[in-house]
Formats: sequence, C-alpha cells, structure tokens
Amino acid sequence: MSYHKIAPDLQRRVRSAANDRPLGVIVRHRANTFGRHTMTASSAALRQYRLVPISAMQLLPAEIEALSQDDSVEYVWPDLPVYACLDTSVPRIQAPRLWSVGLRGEGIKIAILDTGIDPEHPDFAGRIAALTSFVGGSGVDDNGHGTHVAGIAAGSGAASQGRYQGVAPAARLYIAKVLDRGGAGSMSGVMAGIEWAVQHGVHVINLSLGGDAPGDGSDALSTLCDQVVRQTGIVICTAAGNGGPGITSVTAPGCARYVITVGAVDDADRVTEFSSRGPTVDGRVKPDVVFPGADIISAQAKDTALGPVVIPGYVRMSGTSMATPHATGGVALLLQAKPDLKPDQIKQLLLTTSQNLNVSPHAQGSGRGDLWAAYQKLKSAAVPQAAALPPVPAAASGSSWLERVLRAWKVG
Amino acid sequence: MEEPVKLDGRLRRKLADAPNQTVSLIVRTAGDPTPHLARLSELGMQVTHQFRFLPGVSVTGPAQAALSLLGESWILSIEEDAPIRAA
Repeated sequence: MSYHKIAPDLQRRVRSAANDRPLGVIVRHRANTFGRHTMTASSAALRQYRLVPISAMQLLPAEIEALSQDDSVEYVWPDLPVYACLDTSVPRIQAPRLWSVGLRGEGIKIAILDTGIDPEHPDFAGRIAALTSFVGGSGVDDNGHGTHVAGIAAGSGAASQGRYQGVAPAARLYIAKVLDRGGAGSMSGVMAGIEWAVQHGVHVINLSLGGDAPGDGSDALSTLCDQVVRQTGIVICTAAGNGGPGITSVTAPGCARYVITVGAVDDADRVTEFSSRGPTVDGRVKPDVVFPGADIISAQAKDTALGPVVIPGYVRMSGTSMATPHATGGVALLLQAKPDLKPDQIKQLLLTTSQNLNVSPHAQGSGRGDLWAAYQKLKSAAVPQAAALPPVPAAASGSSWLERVLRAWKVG
Repeated sequence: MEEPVKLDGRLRRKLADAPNQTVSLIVRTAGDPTPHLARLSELGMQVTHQFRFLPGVSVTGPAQAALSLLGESWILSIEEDAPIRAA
C-alpha cells in the first residue's frame, strides 16, 4: 500500500475491514488524468464531481490498496457519514465525530428532572422509559422547558429530518416532572426526583434548574447530590444558574462539590452575560465547564408557548438550562464508550480536554467542553485514576444509615 | 466544642415572627428519621417526603413546631424547603 496517498483513518479501516466488505472512499485524481481511472466491479456507485477532480466510490479493501498504486490518484479519504445536527451547538462540541464512531448514547439511561416532557413529540419516539411527576398531575410537559432540555440531551431530530438532533440521540430517557407549569418547584421535590432516578438505575441526571440564593454546597439539595454521585457512581450535570454576570452567583445545586456545574457560552464561544459566575460562597471555582447555551433550537412541547417557534415542533431558548444537557448528552456518549468510568473520571476528562477561552475560571470553569477531545483522551488510556471522593461532611451525611439504605436498594 | 448551628439566623427570625404560619422545611436528622416521625406528627407537622440519600424529611407545619424541635438531640439542622426554578 502506498501509505502517503491514503488518509490514516482509512488505512486503519482497510486493515480492520472484512475483505469482501466495500468501504466508501473519496478519491482526488491528478487533474490531467481525471476520468481515466478504470472502474472496478464494486465501484458501481461512482459519483464524479465537476468542479474538482474528485470522485466518490465504494471499493473493497484490496481495491483501495490497488488504487493507491495508481499514478493518476493523488489521495484517498474515507467517505465518512455526515449528520444533520441540532443547529450549530452540537457540531461545536464535536458530538457528530463521536456519532461517526458509533457513539450515540445506546444503552445509556439519562434522567431529566424538569417540567416533564411531551411524550408524543416524534424526537423521543420509543425512548421514554419512565415518566412521573413530583408536582402533581402527570409528567406531561405543560411549560415547554423540560421538552426543550430533553431534546438537547437526546432528541433524535425526527420531526426536523435530523436537523435538530440532540447530543445523544439514541439514549433512553427517564423523565421526572419536578417543576410545575410555571417552571417552579421546591428543593424537596427535586431531591425526591433524584432518588427516583437512582432507583431506576440511570447513568446520568440532568438538572437544568437552581435556587434563588448563592450557596456553599451545604444545603440539603447540594448535599444529597454529592451523596448520590459519591455513593452510586451516577453523574449529575447541573446548571450554574442565570444570575450572571455578577460574581458568586452560582446557586444550589450548582454549588455542590461533585456534580458537573455547567455555564453557558454563545455561538462565538463567549461566556454569556447571564451565565452565573463563581466562586461559590465558600470560595470554590464554579462553574466547572461551559457549553453552548444561547439561542439553542430544540423540541417544543405541544400546547406550550415558551420560546419563539423556529419551525413547527421546535423553539429557540437561552440559559444555562440549555448548556447543561449538552454536557449530559456528552457524558452519555463517553459512558457508552467506556461504561465503567466513575463520575470524577468523567468530570476530569471533560475539564482537562475543554477549550480554554482565556477568561476567568469563575466564568468559564476549565473552558468550553470538547467531546471529541475527551473521547481521544479516553481512547489514549490517559484517563485519570478514579479517586475516592472525600466524604460529604459527616454531620450531614449519616453514612452508616446511608450504607444500609444502599444495601437495601442494591446500588453503589 | 462549638455546637453546630441547627437553624440560620434569618430563618429563625422568620419562624419566630409568624409562629402560626404554615411553613415548608427540610429537617435533617442524626441517622434514620423513622423513629421520630411520630414526634413530628405530634407537633402538627406533616411529612411530605422521607429521603434515602440524606437522613431527613421534608415537612409542612406550623413555624412554632420547628422552633420547638431545636432542643431535641436527633435534630441536626432545619432549613427552608427553598424554591427551585428552571434555569
């Protein structure tokens, strides 16, 4: 094989593919020889472009090797799948590159604790595994916020021919309505919802919500979040809040220690004005990371009016609520790649591979999340060792009692 | 050794200023709260949820009942069941 003519990722595919399985390739020819290449039996699906000396075809691995010896050929790339995306934010965090290697969230259970979901929206068809409410009534979304959030994390984009596809479009959804029609709830309702999600064995919990006052992480909701992460290995992604740009504006549960607290950036990777800033009241850096959260187009719940309609079935919204499910979906993709990752390993992967935006860590955390970079680090086996997370302050945790509960539930 | 604060000053004032008002609170306990549910009920508090990952309960009831709980050794802390909103 003439290696210098074949893209490295195609070389890997040629080596690992079955001999009788054609691979899609894109071939650049020398300009003066374009059109002279001899067609092979398996290259019947040839597509030849007019403006550039390039053709696309299906070739067997042996044929690709033969092609690389052909003087009329300059270079050969793999013909990679291309996906229509949830507008611009999903490509920005490089989720489609993970899809191209087969990571779409299959087998991963995401809990969305919010205003519920529109169970009839085509973007969630067949993937809502459980639906409940902690604020009375059913789990059906009568506000619109929860459906939008769920669409970012895991919408299939079915109602938009794939255009507005979420980050982990094959994940299963566990929906708890903890916020009412007005988008309001209580700490205890969210805590009950988290425990419900734990009982259902979810892998990651999305909390696009927050309290009114800046916190130090010692409140009951933040403490419970930390206990769940520490004791069960479930990842919790939570919004930093929309209290920016003033400092120390991160509220509960964003101020919890072991959750992944998410701030928001716009399409130009500028931290949005509304995104809450750290430090926490007790001086810790928050948010942990930022993801796109401005003008995000995602699923609209039926009979709701939140956000301007972009096309039927989709609305535009902004907030750290919208940034958080980008992180949640990303966690789902990484967990599909390596299911035994611990929450602190996932957090470190996201933080250490994020793009530094060169602003204060109290605005950007470690930077804007980059899922492909996180995946590359994961593949390189440079994953940080799982550290034992320090206990939540003993006075608040009642650890021996908790251990009995966990044994009864068979989690942790 | 200094006693841990069971109730912050702002909430204490709020409860004391309107002792008959119904309030929603999260009561954190030293260990399993189950043996103390009867006591909460006796004070007129209704338990709305018993947590499993945090020893404690959420309750609604008269503010004065919360104040009278402060002297009991199984009470770790009492805080407002604060509002949460979509972000």
